[in-house]
Amino acid sequence: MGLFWLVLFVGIISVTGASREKRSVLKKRALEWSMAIFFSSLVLWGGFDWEGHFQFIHQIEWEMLFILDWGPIIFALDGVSLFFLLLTTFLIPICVLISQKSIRFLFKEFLLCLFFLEVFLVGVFLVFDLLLFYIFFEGILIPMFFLIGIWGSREEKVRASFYFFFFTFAGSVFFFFTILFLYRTTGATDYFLLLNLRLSPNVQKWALIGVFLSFAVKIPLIPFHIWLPQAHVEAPVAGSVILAGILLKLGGYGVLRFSWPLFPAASEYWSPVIVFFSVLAVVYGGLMTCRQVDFKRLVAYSSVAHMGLVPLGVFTHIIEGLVGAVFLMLAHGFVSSALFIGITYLYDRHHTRLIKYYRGLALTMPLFAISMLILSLTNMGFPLSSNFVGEFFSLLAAFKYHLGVGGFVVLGVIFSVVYSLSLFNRISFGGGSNYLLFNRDLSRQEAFVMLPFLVIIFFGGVVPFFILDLIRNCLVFSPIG
Amino acid sequence: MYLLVLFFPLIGAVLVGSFGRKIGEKGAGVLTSCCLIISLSYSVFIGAEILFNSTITYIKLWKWFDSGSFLVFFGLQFDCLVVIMLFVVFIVSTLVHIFSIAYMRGDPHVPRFMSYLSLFTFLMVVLVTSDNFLQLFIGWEGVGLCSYLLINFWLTRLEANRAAIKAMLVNRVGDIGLLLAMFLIWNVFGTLDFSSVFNLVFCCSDQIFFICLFLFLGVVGKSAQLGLHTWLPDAMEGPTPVSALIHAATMVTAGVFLLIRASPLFDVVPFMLVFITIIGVLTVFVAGTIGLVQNDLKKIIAYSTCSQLGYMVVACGLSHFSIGLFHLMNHAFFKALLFLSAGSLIHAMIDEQDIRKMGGLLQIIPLTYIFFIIGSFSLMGFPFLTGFYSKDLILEVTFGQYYLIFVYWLGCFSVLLTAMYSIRLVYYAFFSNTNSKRAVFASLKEGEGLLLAPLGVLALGSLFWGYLCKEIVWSFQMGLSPMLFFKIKMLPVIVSIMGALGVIFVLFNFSSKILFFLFSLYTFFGSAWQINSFFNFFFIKKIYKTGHLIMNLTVDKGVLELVGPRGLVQFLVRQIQRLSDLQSGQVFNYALVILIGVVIFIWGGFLGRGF
Repeated sequence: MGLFWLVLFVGIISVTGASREKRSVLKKRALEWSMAIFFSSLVLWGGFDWEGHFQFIHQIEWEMLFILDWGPIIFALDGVSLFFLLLTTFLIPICVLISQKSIRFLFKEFLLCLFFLEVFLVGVFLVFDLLLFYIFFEGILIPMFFLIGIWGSREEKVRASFYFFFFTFAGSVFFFFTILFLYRTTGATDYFLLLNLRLSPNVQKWALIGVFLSFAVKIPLIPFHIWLPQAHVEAPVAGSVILAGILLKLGGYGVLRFSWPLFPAASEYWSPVIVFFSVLAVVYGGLMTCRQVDFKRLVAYSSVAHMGLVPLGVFTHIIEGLVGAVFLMLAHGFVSSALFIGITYLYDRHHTRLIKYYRGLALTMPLFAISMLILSLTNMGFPLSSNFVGEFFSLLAAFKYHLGVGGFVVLGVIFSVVYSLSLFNRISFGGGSNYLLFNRDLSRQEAFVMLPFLVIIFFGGVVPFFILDLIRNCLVFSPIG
Repeated sequence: MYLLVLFFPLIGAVLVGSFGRKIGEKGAGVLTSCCLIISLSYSVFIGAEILFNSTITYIKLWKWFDSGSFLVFFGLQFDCLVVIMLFVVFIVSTLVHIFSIAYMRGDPHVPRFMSYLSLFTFLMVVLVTSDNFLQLFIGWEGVGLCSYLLINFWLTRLEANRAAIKAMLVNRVGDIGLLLAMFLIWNVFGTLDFSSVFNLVFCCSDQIFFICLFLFLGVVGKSAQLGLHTWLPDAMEGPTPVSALIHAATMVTAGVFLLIRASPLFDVVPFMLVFITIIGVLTVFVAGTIGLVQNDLKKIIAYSTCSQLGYMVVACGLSHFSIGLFHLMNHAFFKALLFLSAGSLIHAMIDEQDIRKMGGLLQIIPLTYIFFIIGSFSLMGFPFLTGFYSKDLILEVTFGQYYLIFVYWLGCFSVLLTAMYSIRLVYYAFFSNTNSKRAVFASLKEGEGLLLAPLGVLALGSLFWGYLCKEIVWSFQMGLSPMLFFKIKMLPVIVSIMGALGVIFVLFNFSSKILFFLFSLYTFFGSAWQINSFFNFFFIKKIYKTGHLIMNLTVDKGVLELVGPRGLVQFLVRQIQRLSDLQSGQVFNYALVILIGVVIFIWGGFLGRGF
């Protein structure tokens, strides 16, 4: 664990040290270091105990400031956070690779933003102290704000980054209040300590509302979702990838971590409400997605629809639902990032995001078409793809929770076909378009960026038990479940 | 051997799909066909082993999902039903592969086509051989995907795109039925394995009704029964070999296969069986009437497929599942023959599909004519051809059900319809005076040998297969053959001959306009009973409108923006505007403020002193 942090910080220092003028050196160094981070997280996986409980526990005695004696701060990994860590460290080198061309100015600052983002994300997944969690959770906003605001694509970008900041921050304020509230009632912000305390149901109810509001904005659940399409549309590709791939999963991760283990009575109490909102997210998100004309918006709304299944799975509190929610988040992290990357390839070529200008790309860009086909199928939960596993489990849990809930959520399956396939059908089939003048298929670099996603998606669907068993063991044996 | 039969088509598909450019057009065809032939021979061996020893083979592969209480393995199961389906799939698929080498020659995307075909075969085999519902679902969705890709094979045509997406979407509605059924099965039985579920059916029959209902929804989607049948005729936009393989012989029969596979479940709920029978027979009738007035060669055959699938469903609904299977097998032969000979005809006519523009082809393509007529007669159930053995049996069995006697009469009437549209098709294509241009007509010629060889094999099957196999398939499910009057027994044949003669008489004597004097009825049938527009008007448009108007404009861009950021910004701006109005820059305003301030201050001071 210590090694991991070391690699991370050395990487940042090394990138900072590189000259601003030499883009290729800069890119190479960033790529090498982010790959190193990825491999060190793979090493963590290699050393991971199959039972999935908390391990690699690393305590830091917080006594640098002698005034505040905060007690030890614990960094740890378990079966769930391990895979989110892997997802994060996997996506960062990809982001470096894909934004090499699209980021035209301030490249070094961009890379540094990415690295700081990685630090914060890793921190969120590893730390087990409420206040520090909050700090990391909020810290993400800063580099993300810059990513959207500076390197975004149009004039709307300022507004989009404002939306993003406003919504997330407004949600997080409640989280902060909750932390203070909990500190007042219990005198602790340490996660493990809080796990062992039994809070009175009334306290739990209020605390859960605060926590859930902040995560609901991040997931995003339906009434709080309008920042997402805005932010996605304006963000540069790396921003979109990180948004879709990891940031949305933070909400789900937080819900999983903080709802049932800390506030079991309140979760039981609120679960019908939350399940209702999740169902709303799935159905409403699906309908919204069907009507989008801008493909980046379409993919963004499809994430809303898919991520609606996550709180549903968590709050059914059935083991299938929990496992399914985690797996769905991971799978969706890969698929939607890959979809954004694929769509950005198109945008880079033709500079429009409106679907109606695209037609017949299967003729001129077969590699692109086949990868988009696989991604669209995965997005709609096709069997043998990783999304199917997660989606199936979530639906199963919803069905077991209540037949009506299951019946509504299943509608989402139809909508997902409509939007995924109609997007794919429109951009890749039909005669050649008059608007598209210079068609090139994916270059070698672009294809190789896409390839790991496809491989992971496929193996996630055919042999999911490598990941699934670990998650399940973690959820069953550790106090989270 | 059991695994190879599964994976040979996949190997072919992957090789040709990824290295198609290197292998070339000819290589692609030969490679995939060879893989298929090997698989076919294996399936024959397996058939011999399983069928004659009446054993069942299970193969467990690796674990797929496991959440503690929910455990699914990849596994294969070979029993009599599977073996017969395997044989049907492989023989039709092999012949279609060989046929399409000749049919698709010159197309730049032959490797892609062959790869899709082989992939389809693989997925169909996965569907057939799986030993649990979830793995069946892979194949179920997978064949839908391949159907989508193959309908869309000529991807520049807008019609093909629309048909493809329609097929996928309508299929998906059916898939949801299967999905719901799986959830319910898991809720009730706690497992998805066939062998476990079917041994537990007697425990809880009230929930099984819903399971069967949802399963049947899946069947309706996949097997194009009434209500969700609209995708099948549109799917004819695909290349003709595809129609023969997917939309006649194999994929659409997957639904019937599921019915037969889940027969222990259906047997428990008699009411469901009645429902199935009624839907089946309505499909038979409606599809027959629509087929009567179509003008597209392939659409006629598509509606006839629909109608024949209805017969299979009727057989299953009467709990005579083995007869359903028998008809499925026979139907695969004669319908594949019909489609392939239609393909040969279209090939000869240089891609003309409208029967009104054909005619007089008897002298030009006699071999195709022979195959066509064999297929048609077999379809009509002409005595002692393949179709006769199963179709006639289904009708006899329906007569045995006294409370559903209208099923029998509708079925018999549909036999008349079958005869009518078949003969009409043959008449228009081969006998009537030609309507094509002289230059075109003079240049027409029969296809090459490779095109006709598969037709020959299928024609032999359509002639003799029913006779050869009737004992084998009947033996799966013992049951008394119904006792019937001679008149009733002969009725379907008589009706069929009557229909054929009637159509010939009418067509030779009148033009088609006088024939269908009920013009309104004609257009009603011609527009397929308005089912498409019904769905479009009542569901699709409404939902889309809701999605746009209510969700997108009112809620997302309206209420949420107003309550959320935009409203907040406007609110703050307005308030701050009001606040800044105080700073008017005029002295007496400031003086008033000072005065008010002083008054409050002093008053506050007094109050403070007072208390």
